[in-house]
Amino acid sequence: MIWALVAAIVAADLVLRLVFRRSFAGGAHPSSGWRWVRVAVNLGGLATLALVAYTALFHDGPVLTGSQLISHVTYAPAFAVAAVAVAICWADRSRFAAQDWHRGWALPLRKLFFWIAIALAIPTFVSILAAMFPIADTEGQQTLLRVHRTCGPIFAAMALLFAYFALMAWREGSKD
Amino acid sequence: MGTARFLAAATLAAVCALQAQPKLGDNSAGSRGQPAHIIPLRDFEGDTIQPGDRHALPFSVAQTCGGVCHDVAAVSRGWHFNSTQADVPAGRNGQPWLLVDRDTATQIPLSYRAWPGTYRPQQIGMSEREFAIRFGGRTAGGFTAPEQTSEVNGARWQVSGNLEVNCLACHDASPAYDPAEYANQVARENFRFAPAAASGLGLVTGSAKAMPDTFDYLLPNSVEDSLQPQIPRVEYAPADFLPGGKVAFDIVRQPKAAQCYYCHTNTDTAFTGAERYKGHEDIHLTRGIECNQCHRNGLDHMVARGYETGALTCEGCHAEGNAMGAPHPAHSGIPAVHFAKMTCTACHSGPLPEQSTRQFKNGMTHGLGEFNVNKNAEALPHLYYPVFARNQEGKLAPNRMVWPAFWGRLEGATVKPLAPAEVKRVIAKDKLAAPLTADGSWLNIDEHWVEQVLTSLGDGAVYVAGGKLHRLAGGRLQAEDNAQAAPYLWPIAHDVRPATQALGAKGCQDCHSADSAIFFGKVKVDSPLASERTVSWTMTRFEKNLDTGYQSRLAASWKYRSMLKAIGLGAAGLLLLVLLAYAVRGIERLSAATVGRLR
Repeated sequence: MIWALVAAIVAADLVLRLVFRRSFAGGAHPSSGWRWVRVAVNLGGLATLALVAYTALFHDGPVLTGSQLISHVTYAPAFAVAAVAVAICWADRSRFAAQDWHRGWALPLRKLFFWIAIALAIPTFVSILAAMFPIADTEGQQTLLRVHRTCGPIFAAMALLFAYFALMAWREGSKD
Repeated sequence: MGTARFLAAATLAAVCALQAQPKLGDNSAGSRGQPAHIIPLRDFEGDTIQPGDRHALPFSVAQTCGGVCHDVAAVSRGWHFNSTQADVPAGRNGQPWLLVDRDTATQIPLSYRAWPGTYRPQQIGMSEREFAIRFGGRTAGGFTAPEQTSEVNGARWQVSGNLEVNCLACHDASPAYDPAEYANQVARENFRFAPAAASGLGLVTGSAKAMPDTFDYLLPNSVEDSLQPQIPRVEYAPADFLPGGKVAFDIVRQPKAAQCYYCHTNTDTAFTGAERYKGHEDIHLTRGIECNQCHRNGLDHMVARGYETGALTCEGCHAEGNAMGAPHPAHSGIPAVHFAKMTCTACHSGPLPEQSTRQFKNGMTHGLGEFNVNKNAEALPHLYYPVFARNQEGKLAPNRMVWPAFWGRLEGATVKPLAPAEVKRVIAKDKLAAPLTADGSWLNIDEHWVEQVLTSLGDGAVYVAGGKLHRLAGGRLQAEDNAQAAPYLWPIAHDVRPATQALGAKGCQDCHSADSAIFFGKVKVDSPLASERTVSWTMTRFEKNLDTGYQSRLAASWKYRSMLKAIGLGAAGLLLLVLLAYAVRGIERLSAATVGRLR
């Protein structure tokens, strides 16, 4: 369901771009010593997201278990670190501004999906970590797993949409 | 003619109606009090036994308890008595009877139930009567002469009588009731005298075993003079009879655990003798719960066996808001997948698994509590526990285990076991008898002895021991894997350990560690051959379809678990900080916008 929504949003964006063939004016990219750091963070974030999402979504059997679960858990800390780095790199550029909508829809959508992704990352991480402590009883454990299994895919979808609209906004020459 | 038919039909209808009616003692009015059992003793013909009888007969439990009060026929279909009956459910694998013959280095699991890994007694040429003599003393009876039996066996059944259902074994709470005496009488083939002797109401002398095939217990003096002292007789104590010739039995509806323990004791060999006081008991018993409070039954005596589904199970009693007042376990921090893949007993029953299996003894198998029992820890049969294996539902569960050792003949791919008596004859004929050890353990034998016996037994002869099938190939002994050589396992239900002593109480690494006993513990191999006793099997060999690679990797990854938690929680905290920092700034800007200071 969530992946159909992602596909629909991307398809709608591409169709609208073809229909309006709009090009939004944008300034030059800021040049700074942090540029390569940002590139590395972005690539690292995407790569670890791909690994974590792949191991979580493509597994044998109805639930993630066995060696595939170990792989998922192995990539998870790297992804958590990368997610924080991406958040720090993009948070300031993702502040909403009144003039955002005058510069096309990619930029505000990028910001929107960024904040949704950040908000969803927290329950995704905390739910599964809480399950590793002797806190929740059997029913609570199942609830925590459900939270992780629900928030995780939505978070991944939002992160992908954020990446897509970041790319589109970059193509449009957004300085942000 | 018509009238006769009508009368016959009416009589039959009346009999059927009477049979359908519950008997006096089975039709409870609901009182929770203990009914007095001041009743007449009845012999096998149903006649009342009086204290002054010139020739006293043994009392029949079926007649005394079942005459007008209890439907003993219905009771006899219960788990404790029905193993030899046709068309009864086999139930899950249970404890087998173990026939031990030290002279032939045999230790073979037997059962009348269709439990894979056990053999029916008739497969080793053991008749029901021989089975009753050998093992009946540790049962509550239920062995009767089969409809089809050999002439000799039929005559011997007449001599010994049936080993009828013995209600007193469980329900007689009198301190005079002596189950060891019952076993003693059964061994002497005094089947029909055994309950009277055990109850303490009668003093039984003599032995049906010594009587000729023509012996009739109603005409005991018809045997030759030399056998007169051996004639089985019973003498009742007149003081036990109340006015009116009745006897007061101390019958309880719910037997105490000590009565169950006579047969159902399992005791670690480390806690026998002077070390007995160090042993632990099931937490339920420690808390004052009796066996029958969970293992309940109705008139049919199909005692609840605690299968995973149902009310009288671990889950049934420990459910939230249960009527028993049993604590509902939170199992905090334990992923639910454990409950799908493991039984409750895996973490809570038997001894905590160690690097190697432990040895135990059993009441039914070792005759614990009987007269002149061999108390040596090494006395055969050798039983081991806990062994973790998948049960019939595919869940991991702890088990007890025995390594079969027997002689047989290979017919196709199947090993047909040989009767120990047959092997013994061959050993004696060829003068191969090995000396017995003083401790009651295996003979001191080696591969050469096995080679010699196999040669004497002839073509197709094999010896199963130590988890291997041994046979001669080119005159040399060869050992190979064979399904029939695999150890026989049956589940551990007790003793239950409380949560504080459960597997996992000290943390996940109780199981998820590189040297975890539950996965990588050693299962001792037992064999009459000393060379095979040095070998052990890894626990995973019993845990079919277990991804051992995964378990090893999971165990190895555990040392990084704290790091994983720290990184994860740190990342979640930082993300929360980022979110809050910009949310605060967003609210600040929103507030500014309301007074026209939009940025």
